[in-house]
Amino acid sequence: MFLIPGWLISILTFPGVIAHEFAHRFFADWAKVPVYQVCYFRVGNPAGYVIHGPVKGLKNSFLISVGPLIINTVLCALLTFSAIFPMFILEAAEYNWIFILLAWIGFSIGMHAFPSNEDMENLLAEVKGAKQSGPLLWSAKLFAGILRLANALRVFWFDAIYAVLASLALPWMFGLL
Amino acid sequence: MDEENLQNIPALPPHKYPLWVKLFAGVIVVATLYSLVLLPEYLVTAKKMHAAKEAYAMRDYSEAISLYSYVLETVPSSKAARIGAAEAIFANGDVSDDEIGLGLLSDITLGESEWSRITQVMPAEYQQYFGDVKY
Repeated sequence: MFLIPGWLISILTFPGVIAHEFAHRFFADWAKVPVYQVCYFRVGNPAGYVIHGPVKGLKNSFLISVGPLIINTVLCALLTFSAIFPMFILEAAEYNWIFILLAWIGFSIGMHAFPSNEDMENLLAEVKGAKQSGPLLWSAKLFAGILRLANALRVFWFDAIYAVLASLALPWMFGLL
Repeated sequence: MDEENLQNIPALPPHKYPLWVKLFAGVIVVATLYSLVLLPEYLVTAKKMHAAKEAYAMRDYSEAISLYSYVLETVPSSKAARIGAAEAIFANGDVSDDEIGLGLLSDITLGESEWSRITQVMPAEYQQYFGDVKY
């Protein structure tokens, strides 16, 4: 297996880390949750973080925890969309450098779409704290389990595979694949 | 960080981002807008390419050649279109245009699967013009 240290991947894909933390911050502000500290990017583990106050309401907790998955996936699909045509569908030998930039930024953002395990813990704690039971609790648990699995599979480049799939979403919707 | 410690830290003003984050977002927005300007042309070209592949699969070689020609007018360096057009030219049974097909394949490196596709339709006597590439 091809292993690259996490900090090196974070440096190479730093736009994704910034977008991930930006999404947390954006949704925390949107949910009127006080944000005390934000690190959009650093060389270390974690590569970025947002420290915020207690979250009120399950919807807000969901948005703050899962925000990066939504924002990063959408941005990845949009940014890579036009770059995919000359680079991969038409396989042009020469193309504008802007497409390389877009493909790198978009792919990097897609690679950092998954919420961290800590984000999922926060969401589950909120679901339990809200004394939710039944389908909502089970769905939250299932969702958290899937994302934990996705995070564990990062060692097999699952984050990169996800970014590729997100990049192919729009061409597929346009019937070009 | 526990809640007690948090109370001693002032909360950041909402929706206020550092200048470099705004600049970074600006670069992404400009790059995206620029790519969206170029997108329609590429989108139409990619659709033609898709239609060309379908026409080839339906053995409508003249339609496939016409569609691939459109793609090559827009993106002359498109390797996929050059291979596809050459494939259709060799498959159409008209030897008079084979030279164009050979010309389309000049100066490009074919992968194993691409070579396999081409050799299914390319007359055997042309294959001597192609050699292995050593890396």
